[in-house]
Parts: sequence; C-alpha cells; structure tokens
Amino acid sequence: MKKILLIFFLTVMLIPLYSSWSIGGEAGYALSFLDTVTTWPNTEYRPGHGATVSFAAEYDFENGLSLLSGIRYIEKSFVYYHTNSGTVISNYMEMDHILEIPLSLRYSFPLGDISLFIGAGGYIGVWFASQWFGRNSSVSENEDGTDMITAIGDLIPFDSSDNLFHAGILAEAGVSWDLLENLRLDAVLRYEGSLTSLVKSYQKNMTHRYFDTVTLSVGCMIPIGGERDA
Amino acid sequence: MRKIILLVLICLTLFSCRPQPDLQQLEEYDGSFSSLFELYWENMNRNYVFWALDSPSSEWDEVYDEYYPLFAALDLSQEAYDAKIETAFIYFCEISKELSDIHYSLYLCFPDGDYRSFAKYRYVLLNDSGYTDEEIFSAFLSDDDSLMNSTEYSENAESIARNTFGINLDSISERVFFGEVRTSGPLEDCHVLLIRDEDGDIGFLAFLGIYDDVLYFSFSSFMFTEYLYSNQETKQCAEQFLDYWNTLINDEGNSLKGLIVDLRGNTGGYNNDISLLWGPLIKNDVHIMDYRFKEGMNRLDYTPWTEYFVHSSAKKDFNHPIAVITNKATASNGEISALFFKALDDFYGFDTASFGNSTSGGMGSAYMDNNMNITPDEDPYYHNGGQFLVGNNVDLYVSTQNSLGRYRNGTVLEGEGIAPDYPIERSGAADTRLKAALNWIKSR
Repeated sequence: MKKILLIFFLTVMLIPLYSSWSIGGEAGYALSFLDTVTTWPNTEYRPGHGATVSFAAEYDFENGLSLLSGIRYIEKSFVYYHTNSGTVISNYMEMDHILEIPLSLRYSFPLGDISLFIGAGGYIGVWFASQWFGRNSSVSENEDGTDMITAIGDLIPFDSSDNLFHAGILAEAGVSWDLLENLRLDAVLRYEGSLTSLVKSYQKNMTHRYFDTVTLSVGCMIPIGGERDA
Repeated sequence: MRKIILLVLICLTLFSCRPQPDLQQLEEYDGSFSSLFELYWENMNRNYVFWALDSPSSEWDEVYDEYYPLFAALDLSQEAYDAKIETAFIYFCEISKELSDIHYSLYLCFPDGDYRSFAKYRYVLLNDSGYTDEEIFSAFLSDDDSLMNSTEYSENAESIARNTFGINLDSISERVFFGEVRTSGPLEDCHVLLIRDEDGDIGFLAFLGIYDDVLYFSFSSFMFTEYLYSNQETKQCAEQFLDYWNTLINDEGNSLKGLIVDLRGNTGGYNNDISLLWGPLIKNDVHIMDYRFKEGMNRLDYTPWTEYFVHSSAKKDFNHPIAVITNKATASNGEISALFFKALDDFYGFDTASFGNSTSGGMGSAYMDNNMNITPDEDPYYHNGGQFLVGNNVDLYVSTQNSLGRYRNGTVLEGEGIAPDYPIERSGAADTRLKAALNWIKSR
C-alpha cells in the first residue's frame, strides 16, 4: 500500500513536466459486421450492436499531429439468422467482449474553436467473454411445435477453437471542440477492421471470421499540466 | 494525395491477409474415387455435428492425409471397377467405424444400382457381440443382416412379449389392433397396440399390463405421433392405447407399487412422443438435456447450447419407484427416455433406477419439419448440417444427425451410451433383467 501511494504521488509530481499530454475518455455505440462465408441456404450473418468505452491518453506533437492510445472496452457482435420454410429457427446475437489497446496517429485541422481530425493506426486486444441474446430452437417439442429457447445474455463458454487474440487496423475521423480552457470535447467516427480471425486455424479449408466495426463515440480530453496546443 | 493513395494501398494489402476458402470450387464431383472421397471428406467437415468428440483438433485432417492417397490409387489401379468399388466401400467402413454418431449411415452405390451401407448402429451391436471388423464389413458388403440375430437387437418388445410374457401375437390377425390379450406369463390386464406393415410383419408393438402390482410398459419405437395423424383406424387405436396408459398412470385406486419402463430394443422415433408418453408422469416441465447445432462451415462452429424439456401434462407427479430396462439396442429417443428417468432421480427427487446393459450411445437428433409445411424442393431439416449426398446420381449418401446433445450435467454420452445403475447380463426367457427391476421396486 505504501509503495502504491508513493508511485501515485511521484506521478502527480511529474505531471507538470508533461505539458503535451492529455487524458480523457469516450463512450459510444458500436455496429459490427461479420466477414465470413457460408454455403448453407437461408442462413445469414447480420450486423450486431454493442457499446464501447475507453480511457484515452494523447500526446501532442507539433503541427497538428498527435498520438492517441489508451484502453478500450468494446462489444463486437453479429446476428446469426437461419430460417426453414419461412420459420425462424435461429435469430440470436452473439456479443463478443473485447479489451483493446489502440494506437493511432491523428492530424488535426483547426477551424477556430473546433478542429477536424483524421487518424489511422491499429490495435491489439483480447477477447475475454461472449454472450448470446435472442432465440434459438431446441430439439424438444411442445403443443405448438419445436421449443424456442430465449437467452438474455447467457454466457457462451470458450472452446479450443476460439482465437482470443484480437488485432487489426483502425481509421477515424471526427471533430473536437475546445469547450473550456482545459476541456476538449470530441466526437469520433471510427472504423476497426480485424486482421485476426475469431477462430484458430485447426483444419484444412478453414473458414475464417473477421469483424468490421464502426463506432460513434463522444468523449472529452483534459490537458495535463497546462493548456493544450491547438 | 500520395499519402492517401499509400494509405489505401496499405489497407488493401492488410485486408488481403483475410484468407477464405473458395467454397464453390470444393463442390464439383468428377466421377473419380479421389473426387468421391474428397467431397465425402469435405461434406463431413461441414455437416457432421459431432466433431467436438471425434476431431477436437486435427484428427479429421489426418484421415484425409491417410485415405486420399488410397482412393487416388484406386483411380490408377488396373483392377475391375467392381473390385475397386468394394475396396472403396471397405475404406469408408474403416473411416466410419471411428465416428461417434450412432445414427450415422453411409450408402455407396454399386454398379448393380443397389447400395451397400455402413450403419454405425449395426456396427456397435455387432462389435458389442464380439464380431470382428472383417466379419462386420463383410456382412455389410453382402447386405447380410443375419448376424444381427445374435446381438441384443433381438431382445426387443416383440421377443419380450412372446418369450417373457407368452403373448401370442400371431393370434392377432388385424393389421391394426388395440385390445386386451391373454398371456401365459405373469402379466395381467395386458393391453396391446399392434400395427403391421404392408408385408404383414409387425411394424410397431406396444403393450402394458400389471406385473405383480407393478405397471409394466414395453414398446418398440416412438411412433405415436405419426399414428395420431394417420388414418382413422390407426388413429383411434393409438388414442385408445394412450388413454389406457394415462388411466393406469393416474392410479386412482392407488394399487400400484411402481412402474417398469422396458426400453430394450427401442430404436427411437418422433421427438414429440417423449412428452406425449412421459408428460403424464410429471406435474412440471423437466430439463433433461441440452443441444447445439452447426452454425458455421468449420468443424467446431456451433450454436450455443439450448435446453431440452420434457413437458408435463399431469396434475401430480407419479409417486412410485420407476425401473427402466435398457440394452445395447436401445437408441435415439429410447436413450433420451432413459436420460429422462435418470434426470428425474438426479435432479427432481424421483426414485428411479436402471437395469440391463448400456444403451447404444445415439442421442443426436435431426429435427424435421412436417411435410405438409414445406414444398417438395425445400429441405425438411430445420437445422444446418446433417445428411448430404455426393454426385448428381447420388453416388454416395450419408445420413447423420444435425444436433449434438449432452446430459444436463454437461456430460456428452454420444457414442458411449448410458450405463445402467445395475448391469445385468442377458438371460433369454428367464429374463433376469426384468426380475431384477421388479425385485428392486418391491424392495423400495
């Protein structure tokens, strides 16, 4: 406990030296698309919804360039939709919970109190949990036909075929607004494209699964040690 | 501008790192043995639902590496085609015998236009009876079913009715019959539902009666659902039998000491029969199993597990001991019924026990839509995966289930079967399995 307090106070004392750093956070909505292939009829992988929350740290270089990183929690989902003879057999969303460390290089264009920015980079992360929401048929029957089981966030256990390492590229664009002297609001539209499949390569003719995710987030950044350079 | 173009090129390069197989290329059959095997292997890759048991890693890839050269060698062989097709069939038998799905069958078309088949269910019974692979494959090749007579397949509702209880089934001349019959054995108030097929053979048999104050029930398969939607005569007989079964279960005179459910030789049938027959025993729905299905193209791409319920139809639970008798020929919904009674004891406070031999190990299901709901060119199977064929002339056909089940405690018993609480050897007419079940009930 004493060591933790010592580290904390040393960090606080060092903050004035890092006048180009900003810290903050953002939260928003994530829309994901699963890139995979199937030959089964009446089977679709539809977009899924989720949320994203992140803690961000930004280092400003000169001439509008900055480097952004942090820790991001993001829910990447897809809907598995399968019908037969017009009857919906499966209609559920698999939500994969992922923790990422993003890294992106941004360039800002100041326009008075607001700035437009674009950025690109990548991320690495870990897929640490899965849930499912929706309905899937069972094998047992009732008076009306087959039993349909409803899940509201039931956990899906991992198995040996799941690739828990997650990495990809990202591109972003947004607008910043210097609301106060030491407070900046950001609105960001971000695309993440995974380069790692959700499944390991364990067989011949492997069909892979990749997420393409679009997020819309809002957040704020606070400069550490002084006013942020525009 | 240059930087933007460079960024786009980098992105395109990185996304080329997202390889996917050309699935269309894999589906062309050229009539050769190597192509036959390759398409069989790839269709199994996608459609077989039991890979979590049979190939949790690269085992099925190793089968390809071992057998593709053998099938390719057949294409180059100078032997007569008849000899080559027999060799190919034996290869398929060797591959198939390792699979867990008891419902799995492979049909290979021979030059005479007939099919030779490998049936995992028959293989399990013959293997359990001590036959070698050579003897079994030879029987399959010659389409010889006679070896089955020496397996536990011959211990079934019909043999029990005749040998244990002395029911003269031959005296029933009607094609569809329900009524009371006399027995020379210890079964009183014996009622029989018998349905003959077009050849006059017994296609379905169910009978129940009172055996020393214990309700005894045996039946050949789960076909009541079909009969309830059949012609008027069959429907009426089936309804009468079920009404009689419900009446005895209710036991309003409180005269019963227990229930014996004899599932020996029961090969399963309609899923709906499970709740139809066992619902009258329970006042609340019972969760006994979970199932999952193929979701993606890879071997281990599954949907989440979904619960399997037996739905109740009684106002009160059956409150007497229940003994279940099984043998190696008990399969499919016969086994699911055995799990139902096991779950009643494990999780719901009932008093049940099982006797006899392990079941065959086939609890997978292939749920089908009602034929009245689909057009002729639609797939009747609800879920992806399962059966497939190779070749426009159906040169090869594989029948396999499209759902994988597990007991509600997480144990997968596919390919292993359900071991009885009291293993008892088969004893012919003395029926020590039945006696053990009866004595257990009397001891409760």
